Amino acid sequence: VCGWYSTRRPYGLIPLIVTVAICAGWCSPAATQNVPPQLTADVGLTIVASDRIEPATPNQAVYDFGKASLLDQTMVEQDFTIRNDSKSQLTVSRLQSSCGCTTAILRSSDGTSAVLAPGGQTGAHVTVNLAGLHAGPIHKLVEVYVEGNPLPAAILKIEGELTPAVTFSPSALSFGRVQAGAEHHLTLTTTLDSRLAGPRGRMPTLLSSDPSIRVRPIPAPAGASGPARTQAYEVTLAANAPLGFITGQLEFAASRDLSSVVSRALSGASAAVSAQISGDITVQPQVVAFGAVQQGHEASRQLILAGSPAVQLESIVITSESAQLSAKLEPMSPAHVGKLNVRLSAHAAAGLFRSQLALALPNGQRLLIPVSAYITR
Amino acid sequence: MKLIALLTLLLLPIQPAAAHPSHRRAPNFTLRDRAGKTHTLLSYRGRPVTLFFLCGCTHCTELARQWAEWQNGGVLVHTTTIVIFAGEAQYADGRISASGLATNQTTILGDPDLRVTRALYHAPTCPRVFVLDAHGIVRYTNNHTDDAPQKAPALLIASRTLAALRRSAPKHP
Repeated sequence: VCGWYSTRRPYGLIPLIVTVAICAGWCSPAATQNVPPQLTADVGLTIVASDRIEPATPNQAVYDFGKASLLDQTMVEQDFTIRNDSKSQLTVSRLQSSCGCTTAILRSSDGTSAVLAPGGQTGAHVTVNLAGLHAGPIHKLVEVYVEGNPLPAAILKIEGELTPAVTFSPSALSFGRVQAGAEHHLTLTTTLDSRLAGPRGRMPTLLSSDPSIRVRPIPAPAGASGPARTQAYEVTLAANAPLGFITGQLEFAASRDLSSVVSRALSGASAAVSAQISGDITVQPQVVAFGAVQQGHEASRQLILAGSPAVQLESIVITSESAQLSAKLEPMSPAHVGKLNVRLSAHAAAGLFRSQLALALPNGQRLLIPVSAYITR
Repeated sequence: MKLIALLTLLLLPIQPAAAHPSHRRAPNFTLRDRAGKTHTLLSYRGRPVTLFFLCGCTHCTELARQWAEWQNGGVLVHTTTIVIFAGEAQYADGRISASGLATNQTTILGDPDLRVTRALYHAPTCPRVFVLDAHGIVRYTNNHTDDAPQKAPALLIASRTLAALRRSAPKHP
């Protein structure tokens, strides 16, 4: 094509080349590829095989810890030996773990770097903290970097399965969209490792993080001989729950009666509960997210408030939980719709800002609006 | 000849790949959800996408809970949330779904061998987030000193993500 084109249009080749280059840019590998590029740099770093470590390739190895329960152990630890099989000196400059639950240190003087002559080797000690992780398969990895190469020169993997000490069924509860003013109930079943039961087989107490959601154990029927570690609960959404979207977590209470092992096993277990409660007013959006706000700068967001025709907007009492947060309702047309202008003061302190606005109606209904911001210096 | 040159000049401004490295096009991938259905990033073009890389540790759960509050509160109606879970998608249930993420706004995909996480997105450390605009260009990722994974509070990462979404699609409330 180019030969024909250059013969017929001797000066026309340049636009053709440019056009082809543009098309090539459109179809560039970064835009369409599904096959990942190289995962590691082959610089001659080798992970030494042992009875517990199986290298998949010379520079990638897996330690499979099998099954573990938080009631038996909270840590998985393993040593890997890394050898320089290249013909030049390599400097291991850092170890990068995939998760905050995983730490890795080199068996060197400073723990973070090691100079390896050809044939030389060093050790890496990897620890996975299982506390706080949910049950199921665990895949954690540590990347080993050497000076002068942006890709990891070796990958150390720790895999296995964390068996559940507690399971919730269902794992998340939703009341769906419900009307205010009436109680609503759902059932939750928990299955606990029998070692989590306290003295005389007493089960730990399940609590809700939201005061509008209550939890009560359902007594097993008389004569029932089911497994003692399974417990059903009635989860109740209170009749006076605030309007709007509410969400909470069901978690086991910390108690001095529980051993540290049991407390640790219970600490990561939770089930989410949510409900959308309809009443005489709605607001959209239902939360105020200021996002990142620079300290010393005021921020504002606008919400649209709509009431049923019977609601007088002027009768709504707005209160703020924080002195740095204010809100003003501006009526619109039609009369039962208004703009709620929410303002975050320039004097808010740096860091996390969490608060809420409460809108109270004369009939006793309340609408709570969570507010969040991150104030940066 | 003139016509070809003119066409070439007209085509130049619409070259899709942005030159700035932080505004690169997000690499495409195909992964499966918990039902085994395959999802391709390209099919989400046309609206902003928030792409999370999560493993289910406490840092990841905290970020997912914050995002869930905004999703359910109606703040994120103009974006699609994709969670790439470090493992098989079915195991994300107890870890990520339980954080309260809105099922109708979230797609959870499994990346069992971490190939997409590591090789395509260079995001081995969790929790990591990428904001993609409607054209698939990366507009934000938390790889700065103050919003780095494992170090920054979840609310800061979420707030920066939201700010990038608002820049990409100003309709966000």
